[in-house]
Amino acid sequence: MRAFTRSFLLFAAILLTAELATRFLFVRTMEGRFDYGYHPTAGFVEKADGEVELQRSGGRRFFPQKFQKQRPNEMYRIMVIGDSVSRGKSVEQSYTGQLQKEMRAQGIQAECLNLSLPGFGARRKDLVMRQVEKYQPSLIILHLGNSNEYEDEREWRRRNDFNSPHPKNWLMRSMVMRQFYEMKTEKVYWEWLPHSVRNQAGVSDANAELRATTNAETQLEWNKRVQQVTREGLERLKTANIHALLVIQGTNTRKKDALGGILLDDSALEDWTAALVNDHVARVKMKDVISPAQVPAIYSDSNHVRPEGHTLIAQAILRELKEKGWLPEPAQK
Amino acid sequence: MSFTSWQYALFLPLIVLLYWPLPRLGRMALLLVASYFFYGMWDLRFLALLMASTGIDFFCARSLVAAREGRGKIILTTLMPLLWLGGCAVFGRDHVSISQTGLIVAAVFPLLFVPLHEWIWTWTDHDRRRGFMWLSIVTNLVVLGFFKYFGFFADSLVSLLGAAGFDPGWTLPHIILPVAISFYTFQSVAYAVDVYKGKVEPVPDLLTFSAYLAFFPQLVAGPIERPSKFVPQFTQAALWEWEHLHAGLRLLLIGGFKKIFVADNCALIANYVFNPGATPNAPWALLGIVAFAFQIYGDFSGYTDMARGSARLLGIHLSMNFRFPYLATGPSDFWQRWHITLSSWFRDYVYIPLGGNRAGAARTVINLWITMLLAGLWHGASWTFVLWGGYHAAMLTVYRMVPALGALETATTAGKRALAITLMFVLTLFGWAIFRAQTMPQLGSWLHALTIWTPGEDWTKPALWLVLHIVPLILLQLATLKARDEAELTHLPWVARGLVFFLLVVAYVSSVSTEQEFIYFQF
Repeated sequence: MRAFTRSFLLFAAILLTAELATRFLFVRTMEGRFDYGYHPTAGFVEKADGEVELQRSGGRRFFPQKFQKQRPNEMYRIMVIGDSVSRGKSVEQSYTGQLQKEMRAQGIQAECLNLSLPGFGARRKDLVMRQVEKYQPSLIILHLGNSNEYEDEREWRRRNDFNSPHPKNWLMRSMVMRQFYEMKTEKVYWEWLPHSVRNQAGVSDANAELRATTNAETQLEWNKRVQQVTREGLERLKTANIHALLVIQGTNTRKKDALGGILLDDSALEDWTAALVNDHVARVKMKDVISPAQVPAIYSDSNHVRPEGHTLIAQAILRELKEKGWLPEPAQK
Repeated sequence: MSFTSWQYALFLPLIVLLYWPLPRLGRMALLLVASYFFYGMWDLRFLALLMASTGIDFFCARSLVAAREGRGKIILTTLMPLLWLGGCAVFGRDHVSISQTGLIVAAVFPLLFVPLHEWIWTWTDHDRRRGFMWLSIVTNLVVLGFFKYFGFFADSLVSLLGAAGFDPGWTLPHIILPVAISFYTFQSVAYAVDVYKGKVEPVPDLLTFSAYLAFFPQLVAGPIERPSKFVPQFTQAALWEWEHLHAGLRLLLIGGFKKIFVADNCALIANYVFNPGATPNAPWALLGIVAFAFQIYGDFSGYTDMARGSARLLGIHLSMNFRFPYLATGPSDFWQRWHITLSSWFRDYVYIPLGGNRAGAARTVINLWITMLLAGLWHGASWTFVLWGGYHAAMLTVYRMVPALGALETATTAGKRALAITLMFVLTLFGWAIFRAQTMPQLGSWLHALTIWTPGEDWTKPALWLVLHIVPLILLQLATLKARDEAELTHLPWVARGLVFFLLVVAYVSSVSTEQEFIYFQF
């Protein structure tokens, strides 16, 4: 009897091949793969020729974009950090792309980069911001909402779990195993069970999120965190002499006003962000940009807006920037 | 510590690595420490019970063959439970609470056992042998009876008196059922009887016997091993073979697949349907019972495979407990395929001693009923388990009485066998409904649900979910059918084996993480 049977060797070979194929063929970079968005530099690939490439890596699904690490003189560089709302369906359709288009049309040499990532809450946005501070942005637009704190929390737990030396996570160091493991909740067949069944099992992220978001104490804690992280970030930008503009998320309440329009709500953010506005910080509220009458046509769900909404936001941002006097003079034609 | 926990994934390889280089007695010492550690992870207190049982069985069995142990050794051994509980009370008071009653019982134990042991030694040879056998059996069954059934019978009595309009005003103590007690008690009884009958030589030393009785892979939920097969594996040192490693890992993999992929996923639906307060309609009720049938099968046979695999890594062969039970053609056949070690235990230590089928048809039926009712009660202190035992007794009786059914069970033609299997599967499902219902009203609710055919929550996708988790098990069974062993893949071509291993790992890893406790741990 041999130590290794042929069937075992075949099994090991299949596993090894699958692992290697996953690592080298299907994943462009391993950087931050086990950090779920909490890796400081994942997704930012600095090339030897001085270019920075935004890639999908480490839980950061950046839209592919490129920019010079060293900001060219005269270039007004805007970096937009946010979640799925500011991300939009593409760079071009998002308010980032529309802002760039509009500014260039007005002769401003502007470069707008969309660094928004779906599901990113305050902590992970802040990590992205820390990285982009190195690329000499002229302005950072921070799309502010508080609907992603659960995801931040969950991904933080995952990150800690998978990076701990705890033996229960050893198997998950394998990319293939991880892929199989993640199939359970994030792919198809878990959806075959009705919510009522999943609920009693208590394993669905969606259900856990629902429980967390309906808990007043949890909400309070999350709001405090958003405020603290935002304040600290803005302090940092001020020290680095980088302007910031806050876009305040307006949530579709589905409640009609007297004229039949739909009301937007940003009450959780409005009060405390007002106090942040100063010479270095500007603010645009979606509630002010999109009128109740426009809401039904512009909102696709409670938070996300259609490209027309992005256009309105881009225009509002441009107005605010002009008002603040932060924009450079248009280049001579 | 569960077989599917990460702790066990570290514990088992460590024990295996330490085990093989040691001489036999060293292995026994290691197994004893490992087994007590394994058991202590659940509840430290009940190790005292296991120690007491070990002492009683060891000294009774030695006395059965006229091997008299020293009085000092007996006193010291019977003091161990007290020392253990005392140690827990002093050093572990932050983690475990030791009751005064427990300490008193542990203190009284040597005061009762030692004189009793000495007294029985004064009897004549024949009476002494019988005396020690019964001492071992009765003490084991009394302990089991107290922990497992006292609350149940006392509750039932209070209910009965209440129904008669009399309130006794008793405050019944809450008694915790020690894990594994049903399993090691039965193994102890078998040991006493087999030594008495001369089927097996008693274990010569206390260390080996302690390791034998507490052997961690099968301690918590069996298989309930027969001493004649099991004892020699402890008294003789196993030799290392690569086959131990291969078979052990294969069994662990297949067991893990059955538990994690099949049982735990089927449990989602079964638990939903049998949840107290659930209001399923007929399709959901049926879905729930099919889900439970595969949950309990995957759970228990998966556990057994993992127990066998763990033991095999230590060079010890455990008995097969399941052999394609849902392919049974009738109730007799079912009990030769389902929890085989328990059904054969009841056959050999209850049914046959009662007279078996040697004393006429009527007596046979009575013996069957007694055996099956006890087997039902063994599963748990609840009337639903008694009813389940009665249901199987009724099936066995009817198959025995109705010649057409008896013929169907033993039919050899493919068509009739298919019919027999289908019929038995349906009957088994109904039995599982009795088994799964925690109370009689819950069973009533499930039966009522079978009459509700009004549309309710969509059941088609959950049915697909069940199919997804059952079909791979059926395919695995087809692959092992020829070998008549659910975990035997050696007759498959090596390429197919390699692929099966890979697919089992994929299924295992990709399962929804809703880890459920092994069902049979509660028994």
